[in-house]
Amino acid sequence: MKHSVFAVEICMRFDPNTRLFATLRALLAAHPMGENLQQKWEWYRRVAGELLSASSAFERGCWDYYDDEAQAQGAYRDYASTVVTEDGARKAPSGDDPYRNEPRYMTFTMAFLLVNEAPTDRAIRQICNVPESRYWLRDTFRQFLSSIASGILNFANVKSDVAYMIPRDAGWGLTQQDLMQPNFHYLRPLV
Amino acid sequence: MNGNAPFQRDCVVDKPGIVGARWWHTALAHEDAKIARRTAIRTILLAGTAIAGVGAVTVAVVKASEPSFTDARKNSLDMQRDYGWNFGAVGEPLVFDGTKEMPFDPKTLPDLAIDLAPAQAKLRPYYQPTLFQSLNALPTSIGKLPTEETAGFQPLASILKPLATPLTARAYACGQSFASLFEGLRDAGGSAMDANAAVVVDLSGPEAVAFAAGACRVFDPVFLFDNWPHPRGIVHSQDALAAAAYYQPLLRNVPPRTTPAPVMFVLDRRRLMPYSDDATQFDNRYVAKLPTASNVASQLQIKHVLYVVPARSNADRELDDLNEDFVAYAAAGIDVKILSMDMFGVTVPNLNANSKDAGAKDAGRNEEDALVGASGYFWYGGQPESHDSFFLDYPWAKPPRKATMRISSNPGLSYVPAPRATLFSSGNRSPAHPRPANFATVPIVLAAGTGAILGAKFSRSGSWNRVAGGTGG
Repeated sequence: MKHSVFAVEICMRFDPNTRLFATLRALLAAHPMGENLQQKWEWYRRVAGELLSASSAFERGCWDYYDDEAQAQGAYRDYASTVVTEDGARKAPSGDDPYRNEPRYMTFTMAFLLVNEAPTDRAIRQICNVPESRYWLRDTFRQFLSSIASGILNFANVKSDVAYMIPRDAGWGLTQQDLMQPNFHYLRPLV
Repeated sequence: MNGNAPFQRDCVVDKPGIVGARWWHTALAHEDAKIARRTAIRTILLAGTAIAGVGAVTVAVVKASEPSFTDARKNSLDMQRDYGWNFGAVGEPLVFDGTKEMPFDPKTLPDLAIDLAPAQAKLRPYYQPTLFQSLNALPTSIGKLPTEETAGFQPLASILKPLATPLTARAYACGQSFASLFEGLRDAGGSAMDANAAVVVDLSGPEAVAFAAGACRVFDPVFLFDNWPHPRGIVHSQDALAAAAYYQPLLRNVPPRTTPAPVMFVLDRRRLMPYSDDATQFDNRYVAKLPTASNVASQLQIKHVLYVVPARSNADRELDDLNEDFVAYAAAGIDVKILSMDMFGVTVPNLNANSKDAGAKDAGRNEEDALVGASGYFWYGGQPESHDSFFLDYPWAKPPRKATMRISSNPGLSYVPAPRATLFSSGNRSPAHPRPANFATVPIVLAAGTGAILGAKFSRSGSWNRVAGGTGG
C-alpha cells in the first residue's frame, strides 16, 4: 500500500474567551478513543466549520500534500510526532494578562495519511492543485477547510490522522518570540 | 471506548501547552501487517521519528540487514540515576501543570531533601527522599552514551519553578484545618499524640505536599516519593517536586517542637498510573513503602491509621499497593479508617461585633481556632459546629470541645481493610507484594558486540530508531 499525505496547520491570535477556542478544545476533549468512519467524518466537518468561521483571523499557516511514498511517510511522521514530542508547545505558561498588549497565538493542526490513489486521495489532490502564487492566501486555506466541512474526506481511505491544538489552556498561548523560533519557521504569513 | 471502531487512538497528549491525539485505521494498518508484520509494528510504535532524508534511509536499511544492537529492559530509576533524569529524551520539555512566578531562590533547592526530612530520628528510616534528590543529581555514566543522546543535558534544578495552583491552596487549607483538630487536644491539656494515630496522605502529588505543609506545625511529614520526573513520565512527579519547592521555606522553618509530633506519611496518588506504551511513555511508577505492621505497632506505637484520600468516592478502598499493608495492620490490631479531603469545607463565621459568632470566637480563641482561621475557615464537616465531632467519628481521643452537629455521612468510617487480588496485591493475608511484569522498567538498546548501553529504545535521536522509521511502510 502506498500513501499520500494531506496536512493543514493554521496559526491565529489566541483569545481563550472566544467561541472558537472553547469549541475546538471541547471537540478535542470529546474525541473518543475509538470511532467509526461516520463519527470521524462528522468530527472533522465540525472542526473545519469552526475554523472557517474564524478564517479572517488566520495570520499564518502551512499546508502539505505529497503523493510520493517517502515524502508522504516522512511528512506525516513529522506532523504526527508533535503529539509525542510536544514540539512547539510551551513548557511553562506565557501568562494571559490582557492588559500587557502582547498578543498570544494558537495553532490548530490536522494531518491525514491517505491511501494513495483512493478516491479521497484523488479528490484532495485536485483541491491542492493550486498555482504557487496562491499557496499562502487565506482563501486557499478557506478552500481546504470548506472541502473538509463539506465532507470530502472518506475515512475508509484514511489510514491515520492526527489533530492537535496549541495551547490547551488559557495562559499558555504562544508568544511572538515563540513563533520566531526555528521550529515554527515553516508557518508562512497569510494574506 | 469502542473496541470495534475502525479508528483507534494510539497516542494522546493533554497538557496545558497542547492537546491532541493520533488515530489509526486498524483495518488499513492491518493490511500492511500482513506484508511485513514486524516492520509495521515497529513503525507504529516508533512513528514520530523524523527521518533525515532518502539517503539516510538507504544507509539505514543496509545497516538493518546486519543487526548491531539488541533490546533489553532496565529499572527506570537506575537508568535515570546513571544516565540523567531525562534519559532518552534530552531536550524534550518537562511540562508543569501550572507554575508560580514569585521571588524564588534556587540556591536553596539543593537542600530540599534535607529540609523535608522528618524531624524525629525514629522516622528517618522510612523517609524516601528519591524525588527531592533528583534536582541536582549528576548522572554517573552519562559520558558513556553517544553524544547525540546527551547533548544539551541540564540538571533538573535549572528548569524547576515553584508550583502553586488553586488545588494546592485548597489542600494546604485542608491540611491546616485537619491539624487544628489535633492541636485542639493540646489546647485541652493533652497532646497531639493522644490519639496514637499515624496519618497516610494519599493525594495527587502537589496536593499531598500542600496538605502536609498545611499540617506541618502539628505533624511530622515523612515523604514517600520514590521516583524521578521524566519528560515522558507516566507519573508527573515534577508537579510534586515543584510544589515541594514552593513550600520549602515553610517546611524548613517549622518551629522546634517540645513534644513528639504524630507522623504523617505522604504519598503521590498518581504513582500507579496506567501504563501502556513503551514508545511514548516512560514508566516512572513506583509502589508505596510503608512501615511493616510490626514496626507500626511496636516501634512507632501506633494504634490507629488514618488514610486521607481526595473524595468520598475514594473512601471505600485503598490504592492497590497499600492493600496488603493495611490488611496486615488490621491483623495486628491497628484500626485503619479513611478520611476524604472533601469532608472539609468553608464557612466564614460572622465576625460582626453584634453577632453571636463574634463573641464565641473571641471567648474560645486558642491554637485550634487560630489554625482554622489561618486556613480561611475550613472546618471538618464544613461547619464550625461539626468541627469538633471529628474525635466522635474517629474515637481515638477525647474530643477537646463539645460538638453540636454530627456529619450525616462519612463513608470512610465504615472502611475495613480486606484482602483484594490486584496487580499489586495477592489477595491473601500474608504480604507478597506482587508487581506486574516489567513494572518501572524502560526498554533500552545494547550494542550487540559489547553489551554497552546505547540509549533508550524510544529515543528520537537514536540511530536504531532511524532504521525502524526508514523501513516502515
